[in-house]
Parts: sequence; C-alpha cells; structure tokens
Amino acid sequence: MKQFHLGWAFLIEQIKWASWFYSIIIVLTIGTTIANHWGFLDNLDISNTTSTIFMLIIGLLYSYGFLDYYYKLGISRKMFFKAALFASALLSIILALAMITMIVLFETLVPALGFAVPWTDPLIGGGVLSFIQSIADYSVAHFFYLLLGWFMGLGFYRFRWKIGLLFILISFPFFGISALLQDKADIAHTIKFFTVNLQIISIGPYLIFFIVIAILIVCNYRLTRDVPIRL
Amino acid sequence: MSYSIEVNGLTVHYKNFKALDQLNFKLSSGKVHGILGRNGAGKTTLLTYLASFHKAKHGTIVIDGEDPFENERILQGTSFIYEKDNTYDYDKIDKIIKRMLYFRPYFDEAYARELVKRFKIPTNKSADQLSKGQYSALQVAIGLASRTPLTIFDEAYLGMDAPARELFYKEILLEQERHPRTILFSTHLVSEMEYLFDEVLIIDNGKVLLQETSEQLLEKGFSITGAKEDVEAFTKTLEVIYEEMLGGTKSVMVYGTLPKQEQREAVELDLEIGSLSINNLFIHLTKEEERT
Repeated sequence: MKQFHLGWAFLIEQIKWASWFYSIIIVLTIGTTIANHWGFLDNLDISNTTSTIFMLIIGLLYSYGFLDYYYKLGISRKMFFKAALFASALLSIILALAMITMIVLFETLVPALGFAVPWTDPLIGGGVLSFIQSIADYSVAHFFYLLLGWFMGLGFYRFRWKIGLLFILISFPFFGISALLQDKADIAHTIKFFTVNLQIISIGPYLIFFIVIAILIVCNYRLTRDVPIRL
Repeated sequence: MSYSIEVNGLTVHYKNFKALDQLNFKLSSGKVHGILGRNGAGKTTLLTYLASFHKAKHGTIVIDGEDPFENERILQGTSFIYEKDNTYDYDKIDKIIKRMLYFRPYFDEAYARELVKRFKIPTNKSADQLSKGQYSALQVAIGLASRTPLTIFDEAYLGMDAPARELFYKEILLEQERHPRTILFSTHLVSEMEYLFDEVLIIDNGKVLLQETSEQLLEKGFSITGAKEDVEAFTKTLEVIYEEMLGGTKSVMVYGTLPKQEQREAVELDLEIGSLSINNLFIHLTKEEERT
C-alpha cells in the first residue's frame, strides 16, 4: 500500500469516528441551548474542551487500535508513523474547520429562532481575523492533544501499565503548558517581560506550541520505530 | 515467490527467563515447515521474531537475504496468522476481503471468496459475530488467499471442526502446487498435520532439538518389538527414546538410523521392526526428563 493511500485511509477512518462525535456534540449543544433558554444552565462552552478530549482519546487509540491493526496487515512502523502524522495533522485542521462552521451556523441560526447562544464572546462578532485565528487555535490545540494522547497510549502499549502510568505523569507538564498557552493574555504578559517586539509577542504562544509539538513528534517517533507489536 | 529464512544465534530473554537460547537454523524457501515443540518451548516467541513483531537484540534474522525488521518489502510479504488475532473484528466479511487488496499485493479476491463459501462463513456478518471456528476459518482463508511469500500459521486453526481442518489441509497442498511459498506451521495437532510438512524443526526449552526433512526424520525412527532379552541386547548401543513391556515382550522406540546389516541381524533374532510417525518421535524426543 502506498504511503499516501495509507494516510488517506487512516484519515477517512478517523473522520468516520469524528462524524459520530460531532453528531453527539450538535445534539448536546442544542440541548444546552434549550436548557439555557429555560434558565437551567448558563454560559456553557462544551465544544472546545470536548473536541480536544476527543483528539486525546483518538491519540490514545493510535497504538492499540491502529498501529496494531496496520502492522498485522504488513505495514511497517515507520510507514504507519508517517501516515498517522499526516492523518492527524489533516484531521486537526478538518475538525477545526468543522467546529468553526458549526459555531458560526449556531450563532446565526439560534438567535433567529428566538433562543440565546449559550456562551459569551460569540465568534461572529470578531470579524475575519477572528475566524482565521480560531481555526488556527483549534487546529494547533487538536494536533497537540492528539499527539499527547498518542504519547500516553504508546507508553502503555510499549511498556505495559506500570510505566504507562508514568507516561501520564510525564504528560501533566504538557497539559500545563497547553493551558498556559491557550490563555493568551498570560503568555503575552510573560513574553513582554523578555521583549517589547509586538510581532514576537503575538506569535510567541504559537512558537512555543510548535516547539512542544515538535518535541512530542520526536518522542512518539522514537517510541514507535522499534515498538514490540503485541499478540 | 517465497522467502528463505536464516537465523543465527537468536537469544531472547524475558526478565530472568531465557525463552530462546542461541537458535541457529535455516529454512529453505517454498517448503512447508512444521515448527514443533511442547507448551512453552518458545515456538510463538520465535514466530513473532520471524514476523518482526520484535526486534532481535541478540542474534540475527535474515529473510530473503535481508534484515526483515522494518523492511517494507519483507513485511508486506509476511502474514502471521495466530489464534487470538482480533485484527478483523467489527468489519463485515465482504469489506475485510475487499480491504485486503490494498495491503497484500498477491491477494486473490476470487479465491478468498471461494474459500469463505467453502468454509461456510456468512459474509453478511461482521467478524466479531462469527463463532470461534468460523473466525479461525476466516483467518485461514485470508492467510491462504494473501499468497504472501512467507505465511506463518500459529495454531490459527484451533476451533475449526474436523471437516474444516481437512479442507484447510487440502488447500495447503493445492496452493503449494499452484503458488509455492514458505509456510510455517506451529501446531499441537502433529499427528493430523505431519503429512503436510516438508521439513520439521523441533524446539525444546528454547533450543533447536532437531531439524530434518520429513523423510530424513521418518528414516531415523524405528520401533523394535520382540523377546525382552533379545530387544535389550540388540538396542544396547542404540538411542532408545521409549520402551514398554507386555509380559515377556518388549517394544522400544529408537531414534537414529539402522544400517542394513543391523536390520538383517534383527530379523535373524526374530525382532519386528516398524516405522515411527513424526508425532511419535516428537512426543518421545521432547519427553527428556521422563526418559532419563
């Protein structure tokens, strides 16, 4: 099987799972909107957190579900890794686009039907730049969480549960970095401490994210390249 | 197309346990090899290394002239079919067959469908809805139709009923005529399958106990039956692997060649000489402690 075809097949499989996930998210969001309208809930944003958790779970399944499956069909670990990386990057972007489309549709249709959007700071008020930034933010966060899930899953798959638990502990700082970076005001403030250059301040959080992502990619590759396949 | 295998000094440790100890052997291409051994002898460990599920840390494995680990050509040409493989779960049989075309370059879809039909596997069900025997038959059908140059069956047919196993054995012989490949069988059903083996490799306690062609191995096993004293005198210098007594009659199993001269002497002593099956040899050669 050619590298590209494998990556594509991998992506399609994940998109099938994602479509189930999004169907559930849509139902939940409609539910919270109605609940919010009747005063049961207030200011909920389930989409961002749940999509990153979805990506984390997908990543966790990479070794047990996908590596195992493809290897037993004659695909090398290296080829799997490249295909998985390609599919994850694309999936992160596709899901970000889907998420933004869903939010925009929601923010347009829900008020027209006489309901209130169940979150503050609506996306459609921010203009085109806000869309682009949101897509970039979602994509990077998705990709990051998928890589982190992949990293933890590999720990369990390769070393079994005792050392696998250690991989969860190692992941905590990564979660911390992610939380910090997503709070842009905080990180911008920190970067301002080192420089007054506005361009560096605005791209700073992304730069740090990309460095962390690169570290995770290297770690995952090194753990995958000679991982024993389980019977 | 078929792959040859060469293993040199392969040693595998699991913590303090030595699962494989300095294995050295060559398996010729295009043959059916029986990999035999008692439970825990190291058969599955060896096969997982041959399928590159693990990287050999001590010793080397060469398949078709190359290191198989992360070798895309060798991996694509290697099928490892084992008992508890859940690779095909959740997919419909029809989809599984179609999908194999993407992964196995020599996969014969028509043959796979024919086998599925003959094994009476319902194609409208998903693999996890099949009975154990049907699932095993599906794995075997895919293994046969994949026509990979190296096909490894590790007890994959457990759960299949006798008629299904019989069909599988017949197909092995037919396939070897049509598309010869290297087939490795690890099995406990030695008596049932020994006629399939071109060569036999017996592993005991992680070491190679013997490696022979089936013909050579059968020539090396004899049963000698007769009066107790005559049998004992005759077999004094031979390697007796099993003996039993019935009244004054003694019957022994001997491992080793018996030259024509000795065969004549046996006849003169009124001793009856018979042949042994691979199964008999396997049972008694791997029963070392009880013999000694």
